[in-house]
Amino acid sequence: MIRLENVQKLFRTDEVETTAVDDVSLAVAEGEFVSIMGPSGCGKSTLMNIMGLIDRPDAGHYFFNGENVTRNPQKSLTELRRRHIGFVFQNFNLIDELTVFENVELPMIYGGGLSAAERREKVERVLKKVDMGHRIRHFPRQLSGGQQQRVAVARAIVNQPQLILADEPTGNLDSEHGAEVMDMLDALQKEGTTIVMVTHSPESAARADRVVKMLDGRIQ
Amino acid sequence: MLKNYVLTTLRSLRRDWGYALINIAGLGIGIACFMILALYLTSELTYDRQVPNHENIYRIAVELENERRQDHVANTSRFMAPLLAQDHAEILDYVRFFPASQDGRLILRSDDVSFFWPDAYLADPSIFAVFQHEVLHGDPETALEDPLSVAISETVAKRYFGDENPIGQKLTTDTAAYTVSLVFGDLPATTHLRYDVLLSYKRLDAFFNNVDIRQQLWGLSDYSYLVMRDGYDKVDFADISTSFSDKYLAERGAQLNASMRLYLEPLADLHLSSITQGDRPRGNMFYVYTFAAIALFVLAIACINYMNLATARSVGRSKEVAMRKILGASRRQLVVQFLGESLTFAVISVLLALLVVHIVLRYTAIDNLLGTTLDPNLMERPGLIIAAAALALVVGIVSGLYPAFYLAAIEPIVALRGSAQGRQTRGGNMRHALVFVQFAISIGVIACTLLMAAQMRYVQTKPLGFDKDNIVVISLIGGDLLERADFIKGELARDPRVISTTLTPNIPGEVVFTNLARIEADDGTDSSQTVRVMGGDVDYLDVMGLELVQGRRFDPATPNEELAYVNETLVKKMGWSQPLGKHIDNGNFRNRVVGVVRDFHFQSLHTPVEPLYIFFNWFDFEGSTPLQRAVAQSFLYIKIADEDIAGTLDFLEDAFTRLDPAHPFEYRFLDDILGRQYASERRQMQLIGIFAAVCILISSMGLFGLSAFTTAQRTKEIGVRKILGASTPRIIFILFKDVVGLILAALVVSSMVSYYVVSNWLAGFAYKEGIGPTAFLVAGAFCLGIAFFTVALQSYRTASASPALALRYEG
Repeated sequence: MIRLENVQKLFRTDEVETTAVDDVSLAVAEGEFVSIMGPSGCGKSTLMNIMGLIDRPDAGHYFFNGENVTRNPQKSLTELRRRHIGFVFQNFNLIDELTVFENVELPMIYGGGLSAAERREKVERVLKKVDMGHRIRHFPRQLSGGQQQRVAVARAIVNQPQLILADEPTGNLDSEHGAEVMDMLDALQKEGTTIVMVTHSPESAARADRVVKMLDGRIQ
Repeated sequence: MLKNYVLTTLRSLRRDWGYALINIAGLGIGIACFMILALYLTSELTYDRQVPNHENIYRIAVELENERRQDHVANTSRFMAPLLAQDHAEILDYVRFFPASQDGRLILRSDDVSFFWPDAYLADPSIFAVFQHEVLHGDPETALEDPLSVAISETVAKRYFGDENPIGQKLTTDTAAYTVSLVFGDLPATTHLRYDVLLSYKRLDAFFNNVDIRQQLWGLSDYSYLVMRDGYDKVDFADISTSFSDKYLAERGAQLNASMRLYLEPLADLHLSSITQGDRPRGNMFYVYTFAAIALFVLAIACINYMNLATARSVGRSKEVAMRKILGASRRQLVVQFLGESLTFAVISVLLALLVVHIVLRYTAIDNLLGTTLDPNLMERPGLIIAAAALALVVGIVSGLYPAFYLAAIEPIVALRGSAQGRQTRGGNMRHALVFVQFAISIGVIACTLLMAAQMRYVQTKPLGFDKDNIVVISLIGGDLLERADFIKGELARDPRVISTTLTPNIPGEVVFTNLARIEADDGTDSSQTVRVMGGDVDYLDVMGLELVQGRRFDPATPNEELAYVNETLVKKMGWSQPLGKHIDNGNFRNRVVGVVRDFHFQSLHTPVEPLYIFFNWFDFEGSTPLQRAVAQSFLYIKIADEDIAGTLDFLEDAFTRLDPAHPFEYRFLDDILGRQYASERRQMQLIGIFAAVCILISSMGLFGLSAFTTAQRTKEIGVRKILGASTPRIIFILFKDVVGLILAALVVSSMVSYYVVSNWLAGFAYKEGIGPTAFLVAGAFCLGIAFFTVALQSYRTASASPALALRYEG
């Protein structure tokens, strides 16, 4: 489903050049659950951002669904991201001014093409799926960490993406809530969604089909 | 989508209410000031445009030229308009206005009620055809046909007759009883030639039978208006002027060694664009430009505030922006969202501004400051609502565009990384530039205010060369009174508080005659000169405190008729080696010079001292008609002691009630009259001062908000500095340092601009102080002080907090 070939990413300041991702080649098949592990600063989040079309590699190629998207214009990447990729972050990254309903609805608003009634139906369905249907009018600050992450998962899947990228999804959760989130990811994979997860947690990583280890920007 | 944006904006406002308050208050105040100035400017720029057919109405102005001197005069002879209309078919109609008295004031009596009215004229019956009026009672077609008819304004009618229909009632002047034939609605404030009382012009017919018209054409007394045919080009009037001059003016002009050119001034241009003398009080294009600039400055400062605060706030919004982009928002969608936010702010601010404007118009003396009358019911006009909506749109877009693009450009990767790089406030240079602009404007406006105040102080304290303090001015009207002037003076002199008195037909700066006189040169030949003319009796020099530098005074023991003083400027102009004994022929009398007075400022300090002669003021009503006798007027100047002024005024009132029972007792102080010459400048200066304060207020509010974000951003740095030993004042200074450089740079730039602006304003004064550096330094120091106070107030809490708290802060 996604294939990275000899991808490299550098970060430059006036004085220093850092290689965050160094000649990485990685393929993830459709429906696969891959976990990327490594110490802080090893480049896993950078790699995740490249896979999520949020960042571009400085060298190498990135194929998404067979298409080389390395040099695609920003508009095209946004469109691909909107239609095919869902994101789950360690810090949940819900928008504080919006309710649970409005947060989950947001990707469909940007995508367009659905009526308000259609959007409502989809939002209610996914929130029910993550067991957050009863908090639809609440704001993020009124929810616990676990609840916020469930809403984030709902937001990530509302457009039925092919790929979910989860960056330390259990990092800010206790073990009970963390396990709940992992269960949700498992369930999504069983439905055919491809999942790539970055994690420090060996327990979480063990839930994946494959664990990729990174160190100093390279896959071990 | 729109609902999502609106909800986000409103909830964000509620959450960051401090930021919202600063922004809305700043924008609201700025917009309110802009609206008030816009109303004022609209008023100034639309004078007389409410008159139907104003495009075809012109005033005749006259350019007088003699011996290389040119004067533009707003007045014409009473015969000019009828002759022009008779000879030229392009002229469809005309109307003339003749002031009802020397100083324009007319007393009207009805039973026991009598008042002076300042704006009274004799006008042609065609006035109601040429200038459309709101007619409340009477027939405009016939209203002023009867020589003893009078048309009055609604205010005048109410004063004498209450709510009754006054048609047919009598109002008496000193000369006759007039019948009220028409009542018209009070003229709008935006009228150049204002009047409350119109007597019939036909009343003057009796004065002007059997006169030499060609001679009378050089007597400039009336305001004459012409109605030209549709599409007439005023440039073509040059031909009419030439043919008129050849036919009627050339012969007498040759005798006077002078020429007269007529030209047309469009009615709508009179208030701001006329350059004539003898005109009614006018506006000033310089002030229109100045206030237009200030209006834009104030609005710009308010918009800059919004921009600065919105972009500074981006640190806190970067996460939201990043997520929206990751979730698929395009840059265009984000720009629309943030523009929507700024439009929301703008709409709320405009509503606040409308409330402020309503309160200001209704409950403050803003009209006095502006020198005009703004309609307090303005808020009910639908046009205003549309204008306000348009303003909200413009302000929202202008102030929102930069922050919108700035925020939409946030890279999600940078924001998500949460690194120090991501936390840095981007666009610092732009924000510094905006603060620079704000303070440059504020310093500039403050410096201008200070310099204008200095000039006003100068003109008010500059010695005028005559005494103006403690001189009471009272009108004496009518031959009966004037012939008893010596007796009246004697009666007043009985009170020791009355120091001296003099009778003069003039008031410096207000009533000064102009004469094209034939003046004798050293070689005995006469030349035509335009000179200023005043009159005075034997006590004139004493009361006015004028210094005689050569010759003698008018002598009470010998006849003084046809004697005159001249000023030093006239002596210089004529190049006289010996001024005494020279003759000045004003067309009626050949006055002989007996004395030279030291130059004094008999006009405002806007103009240099001009050549002047002061004729002996005497009265001879032999051969005068009863009407001429009745309307003759002079002013009695009464110099009173410093002490017990109230008691002296009581004495004067008692005396005049006895001596002149026909007129209500009214007095003015000469220094007040003179002060009115600068009323316009004083008002402008006060207004500019107020708007300078507004600029500083808005800039400070913005700086306050900006400091909040800057301080929050640097909390960790502050904590580290404190651990290393920095004191609270030192930390405050570090935070303030960024602003100091900006303000000093702003001082340099704004000083240059203010210097240029004030130099142009000072060009309107013949006498002025130079522009020194003090005003600029004071303005800069003041702004630095305000900025320091603002930054210190905001950052004190953080600067004095425990460093542990600061280091715990993750931002």
